[in-house]
Amino acid sequence: MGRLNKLSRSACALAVLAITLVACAEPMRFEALEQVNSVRILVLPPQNNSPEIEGTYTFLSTISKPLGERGYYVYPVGVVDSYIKANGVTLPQEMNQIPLDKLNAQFAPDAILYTDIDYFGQKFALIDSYAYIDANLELVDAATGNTLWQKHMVYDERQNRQQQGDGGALGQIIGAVLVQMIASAMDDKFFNTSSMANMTALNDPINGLPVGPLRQTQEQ
Amino acid sequence: MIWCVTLSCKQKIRRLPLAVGMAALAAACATPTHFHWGDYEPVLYRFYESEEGISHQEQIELLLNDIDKAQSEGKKIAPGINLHLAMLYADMGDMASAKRFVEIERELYPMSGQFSEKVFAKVLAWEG
Repeated sequence: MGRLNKLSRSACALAVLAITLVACAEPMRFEALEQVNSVRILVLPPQNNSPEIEGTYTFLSTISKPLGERGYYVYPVGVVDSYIKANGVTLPQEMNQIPLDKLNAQFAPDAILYTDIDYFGQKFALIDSYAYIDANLELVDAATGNTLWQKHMVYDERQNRQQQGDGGALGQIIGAVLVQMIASAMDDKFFNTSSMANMTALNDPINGLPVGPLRQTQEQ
Repeated sequence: MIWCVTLSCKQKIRRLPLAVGMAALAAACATPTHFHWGDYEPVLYRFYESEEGISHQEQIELLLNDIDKAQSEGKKIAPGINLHLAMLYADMGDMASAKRFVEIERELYPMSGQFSEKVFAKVLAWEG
């Protein structure tokens, strides 16, 4: 009994410490992004270096909401993709090679989001298998090509399972995502995983994407 | 799990900041979205999954339903959804509807103007 109390007390102290640490950590500043008034974001399909081909479009279908909620006007990714394809560029690798001036002439974005996926899929461990995503996101100034913001995103399902068990923040977000899924026979596991990963990365209190103009004007 | 730990904390001083922290965290999670997104992303997922994965008609029904829901919730429909609809209608040859949705998007989000002038040039030039 005494031991249990001691244990729970130290667990409690640890939790308080964790919350304090989170509260005290300074968010990083992205001055280049603060200086330009980027609101219109063109999202290109990611360069996918992982063997999981589906990662490309799973990522692409789960990035609009986190970007939009952060306060940016995201060009409709399905429309952009169809338009580029209709103009003869069909592969994501090729789309990532399109020069800035051509993209500007066609879409007039303020910024472009480039993504490199290094891992997207299931990892198999001895007793367990888990979803894992490793990607680099880079937001580039459409006028100059300068980097405005970047983020190395690593998502490990095992960490998420722990937090879900706590009924914590992530558990609630994933709950919300699941409720929204439309009934269909599709394998939605990676849709949810990818949503979670993108949502968590962009909302990272330390180096997530700073709040953009759409939300700043709304909240005034 | 953390809640149980909280309750078993004996010292009130320790319990308080944790409870406040967790409450703030819970409140932050419960914060509703700024825009109504509905089925847009699942529609995109199935749109990309395979050409046959979801018909134009099915996408249109789901997205129109979201526009209704957004209105009844008093929320702004998320950026881009009207343009996705416009693309579907244009594909199906319904230029009047396509044009209407491009114009709705421009009213809601004026920053979509330059994009639409290029990408939906044919739609905007259409005269019924």
